[in-house]
Amino acid sequence: MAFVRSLLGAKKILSRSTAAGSAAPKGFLAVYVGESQKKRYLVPLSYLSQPSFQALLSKSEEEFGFAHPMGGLTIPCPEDTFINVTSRLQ
Amino acid sequence: TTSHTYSDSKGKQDGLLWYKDSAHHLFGDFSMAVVQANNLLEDQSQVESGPLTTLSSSGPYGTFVGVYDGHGGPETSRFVNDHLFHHLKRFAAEQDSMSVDVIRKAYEATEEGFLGVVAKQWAVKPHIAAVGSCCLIGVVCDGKLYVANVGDSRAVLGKVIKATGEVNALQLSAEHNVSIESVRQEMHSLHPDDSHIVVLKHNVWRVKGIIQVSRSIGDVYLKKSEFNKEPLYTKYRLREPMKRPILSWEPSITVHDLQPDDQFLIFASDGLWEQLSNQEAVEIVQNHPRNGIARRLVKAALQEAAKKREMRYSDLNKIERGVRRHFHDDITVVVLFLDTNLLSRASSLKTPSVSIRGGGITLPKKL
Repeated sequence: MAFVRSLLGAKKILSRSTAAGSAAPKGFLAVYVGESQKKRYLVPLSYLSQPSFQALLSKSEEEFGFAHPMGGLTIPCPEDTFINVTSRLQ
Repeated sequence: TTSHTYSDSKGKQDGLLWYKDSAHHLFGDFSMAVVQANNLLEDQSQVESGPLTTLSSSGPYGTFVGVYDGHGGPETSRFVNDHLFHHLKRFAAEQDSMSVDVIRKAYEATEEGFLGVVAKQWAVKPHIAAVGSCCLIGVVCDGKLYVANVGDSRAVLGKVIKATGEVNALQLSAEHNVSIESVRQEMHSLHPDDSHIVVLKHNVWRVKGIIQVSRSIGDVYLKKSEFNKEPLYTKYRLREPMKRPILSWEPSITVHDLQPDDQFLIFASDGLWEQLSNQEAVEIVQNHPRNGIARRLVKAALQEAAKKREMRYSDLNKIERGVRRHFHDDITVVVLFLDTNLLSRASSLKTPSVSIRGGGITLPKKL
């Protein structure tokens, strides 16, 4: 599993991994980010209570409902939008 | 995070989970469990056992199960929970028996009652026109099982093969979700002049691109044109005027003569069935203790949901209502065991009546 730092140099770790289908480590969950090609990220559970992250999920719901064909949560926004939002989260 | 723990003879609340592990109905035990995912719980449910008539002296005795999976808000499923059973008892009293006709009339009266609510509230709360509910019921009475349904909840019978102890699932409810090809065909034949009656969007079939079920209680914005106009939100409004109702309240009803190998019934909202197959569910019931079996089915569904979302089950349980909806739907499960000895017994007037509603306390809406 590859862990890479956020492009914006934030302190927390956004991990990116290609091991789709496997359970995330305790306290993390997988999200699939991107418009056409989806990249798998592992994000901490604490993001789910952040309004800006919830807004990304709501946007996804407006377009796709609650169907997530990859299994994991799909966030169909541009990858840099996702990185921009998550880099501001503690 | 607020965690409500609440307990009484009617059931226990543990965070977003409500359960009643075991209680008696006229023909055996039953078990109920509900887990909330929506900000406001949209699933409602009830088990009623005793007289199935408003006249106390005579008439049919039996057990009634209702699972009502609301959408767009909790108003319709709550209304059904408050009114359908009473209508059923009223018509059963009139006809002095249980029948397909009694059930159909009870659905019709419930639909009409909710239409009255919408007409009254429309001016101040137009969104009420876009609230609806699936409605699944089962009635065990005189050795027969009646199952009626609108929407995509499901009743599954567990038939036990005596020689081997294995169990087979038999689905008793018809489903009205346009993900099923025959349901799409039915919609096309009912609306031959509308080639866009069902639309595939992002891999999901929807009626008029809006809703996945073809039958429901409520959703009057897709039944009466006077409720498909301003001030209703644009996203619910149709471009062309409605020539006839798009959705139907008419239930699919089956009657099943109960056999000794018919050992239990699972009634559940689609929140369970999107995680577990009919056969997986009946095997879980057959292979575990009866006490707490509905809760065990809910847990199995949540474990499956966690696996799909590539996370730990223990982490899924930490997610609050509202956001939780991105991980699974509200899930309601009622498991009704049928004891052959009790089924053949003449209706006993001595057994106290039972009335339990799933969901326990209502958590106020979070802003």
